[in-house]
Amino acid sequence: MKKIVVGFITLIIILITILFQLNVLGQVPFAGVVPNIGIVLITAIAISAGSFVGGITGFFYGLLIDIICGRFIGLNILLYLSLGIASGYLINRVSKDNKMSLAIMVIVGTIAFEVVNCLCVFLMQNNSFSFSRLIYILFFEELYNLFLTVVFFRSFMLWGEVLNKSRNNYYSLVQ
Amino acid sequence: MKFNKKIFYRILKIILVIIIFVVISFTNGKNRKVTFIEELFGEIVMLPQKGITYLKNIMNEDNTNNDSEKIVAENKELKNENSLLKEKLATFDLIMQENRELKNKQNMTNQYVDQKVVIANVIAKTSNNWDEIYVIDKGTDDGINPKSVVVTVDGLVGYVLTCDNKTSKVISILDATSTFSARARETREEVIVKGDISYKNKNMVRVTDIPLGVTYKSGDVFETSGIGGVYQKGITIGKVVEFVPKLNPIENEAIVELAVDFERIENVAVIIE
Repeated sequence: MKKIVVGFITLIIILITILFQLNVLGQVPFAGVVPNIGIVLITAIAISAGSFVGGITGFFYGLLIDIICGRFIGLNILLYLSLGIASGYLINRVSKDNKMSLAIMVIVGTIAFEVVNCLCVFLMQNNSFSFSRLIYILFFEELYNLFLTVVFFRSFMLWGEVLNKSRNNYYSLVQ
Repeated sequence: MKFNKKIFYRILKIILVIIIFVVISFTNGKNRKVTFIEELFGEIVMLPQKGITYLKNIMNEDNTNNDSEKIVAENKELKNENSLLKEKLATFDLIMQENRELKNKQNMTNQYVDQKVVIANVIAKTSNNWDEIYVIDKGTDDGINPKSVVVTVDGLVGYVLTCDNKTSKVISILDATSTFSARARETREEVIVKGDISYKNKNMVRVTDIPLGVTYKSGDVFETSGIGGVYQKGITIGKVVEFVPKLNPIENEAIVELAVDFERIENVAVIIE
């Protein structure tokens, strides 16, 4: 029962984050570049709750984004799912308390996310790959995402710890 | 043989990725029907989204009201009659604003008087830096279908990508994957208009496949040609801001500033065929 409630609250948090992304962050671009709070959310949850929970959260985040404003179903699911799983695996090699490593995780996540997105657009579009545009977007989005990391990362990590606790309690009960 | 959890989870992950790719290939079709699950999640998410849009509109009206109350409060101290007139003036401004919005919507209907149009509000925009997809608050219940053309009183916006009962996703001509046939309004040459990532933020697109020997000057207008089956003939696209000659004249191109201001787009008209 508790697990279901925790899962439902996580879904609400994902929904609120998406609405915040669409209605607030989408209206205040930095140098014409929109940030991605989803990367911060998924990375934070994956760091505190592990790759499995990070992957599940990424899956649902990507699914909702695809349904609301995606070109087709699947791309964002794949991207956020991979981000969640990869962040969960990588955090085992770095310290969770080291703020620099957390910032680097967000930076690497943003780079990987945008490069794949850019490649998908390149494969679908009919003109040449714009490397300068990719660098431009990456530079300003990194700055903006780091700012969001400073503001929101702790809160997202706290919820990730709640998810981790409820998952561990479930497994201890099962065993 | 002992059950190996690690290998099992690895196989599970591979199967999940394969399933996702299969879903991508099925949902990438332009004329696909929206599934029940998408409709359900879409309804859940669009409800608060519409609420937020409604609240934004109310707040804009409230700000106007708060300004006039301040003025009324100041004037009350001086003259009672003057304060009444100020209040009436504020109400009049509100009515004028509403009138402008309604006229704008009416203009869109009148401009396309030979065709059936549905006026819709833009309630959301894509969340990343690569796509140009808008969500409007009308869907199949209002007669909209995938590939319906979307316009404003100024010109072409794009076409409907997918739609469910209450909402539709519109892919704009600014999108990097957008390509369609167009024509110079005065000289009537056929060209190709393409969205470009580099010009997206400047509200511009590229015109290519310009016939040999043809040049364009600033201010030349392009409109849709009707070829290709997506957009009707004669819808304004935009004006040339720069003609870019290349070493190979076949590759000459023009940069066109779009007639529609995509930064401020609020209402659109969907042409129902």
